[in-house]
Amino acid sequence: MNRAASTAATAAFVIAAMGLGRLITDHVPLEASAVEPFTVTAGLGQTAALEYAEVTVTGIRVTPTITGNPTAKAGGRWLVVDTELVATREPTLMLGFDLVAADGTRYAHSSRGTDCAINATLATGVPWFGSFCFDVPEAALDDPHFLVSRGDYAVDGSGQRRDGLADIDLAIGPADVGTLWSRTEPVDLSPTGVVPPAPAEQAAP
Amino acid sequence: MIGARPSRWWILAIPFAIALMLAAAGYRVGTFWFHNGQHRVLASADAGQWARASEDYTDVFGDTTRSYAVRLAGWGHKSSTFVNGRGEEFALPDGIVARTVNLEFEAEPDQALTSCTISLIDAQGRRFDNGGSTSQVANESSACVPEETPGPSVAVLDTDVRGATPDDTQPRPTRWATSPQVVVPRDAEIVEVRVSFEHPDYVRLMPER
Repeated sequence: MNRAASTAATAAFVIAAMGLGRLITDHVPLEASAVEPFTVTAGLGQTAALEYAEVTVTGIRVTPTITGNPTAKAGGRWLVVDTELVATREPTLMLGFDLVAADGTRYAHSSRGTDCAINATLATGVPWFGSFCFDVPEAALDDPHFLVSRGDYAVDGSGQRRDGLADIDLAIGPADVGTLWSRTEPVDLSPTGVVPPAPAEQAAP
Repeated sequence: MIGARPSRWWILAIPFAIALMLAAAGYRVGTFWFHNGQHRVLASADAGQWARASEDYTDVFGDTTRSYAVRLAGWGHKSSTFVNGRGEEFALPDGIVARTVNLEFEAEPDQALTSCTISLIDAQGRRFDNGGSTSQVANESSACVPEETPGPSVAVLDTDVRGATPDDTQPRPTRWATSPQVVVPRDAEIVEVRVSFEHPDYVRLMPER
């Protein structure tokens, strides 16, 4: 191969490599694949098996009042999400517990109610029970989802990137909203921890 | 006429370039993985045998070392109740037990051994710790030192004295035994016991199987 042909082949190789690079950057969703959490969906009473933990919502309750010392009144209503978690591989600290309404509005859980869970330090293989409390407006009761992860949401989900996230459908439909909103009975929560709550304290919508 | 052959020496540079690329891309592995868990075995011993370890660590005065020997003397009882680090005693859920690990230690009285974690590894690769200060089923107290004579802690204040025995206790003996408890599922088959003070280092003790 003479020098001219060699130069032309090299130039063709470089141009082809640049073209391939452009194809990759144009057509591979690099950012989306790099930052999104690995979401596992489940329904009320079902277990979402993440890589590091199993997440189950055992019941939900709606009330204007959480009893305790002090008693906590909601600005709207308390949506209490009774949760069971099990770390499956190693002791795990879990920080991400958010409620997302149908319109995408995100609600942080509150620590105002006595025994409302804040986060969960899980011992491997030992079930942990806790109730997360969300002070929400009536509209948020229509089709809310409970999102659970190791990292907290932080800024734009930065704490949940490339990690397992459980998306639990709390199974509240439009027909249930009025009934739930009108409930007035106070709710008493069990302490968080490895001691299971009494069966009577669990409730479905 | 044969044309001049292009240079092929650049091919030799490819392995170095790949190694450099991987090093540049993996610089966070150390921070977010290696130094964030138990990843380096300092010493290892079979059941009943002594494992002797010396590990580097940093206190308020600078770099220093911690030297000790430990052996797995056996297993104690399995309990369906547990007293955690906050002094709360409660019944464990069905299928969960607290296993007692009998350990023996040797170390000079000036070694800082008061804060350690005992981990059990089962056949499925699950890790169970006695630690995790906010966990309800954790109790790290006196896992690696005698309760009455714990000896020095890691110096964290300028006013501390490295290696000094607390004023209100006697010096720690050079040989002693502990019996920490670790909460595990009843059917967990334990294949390894770990003693660790700081990530990523740990001592591996192999139980009889």
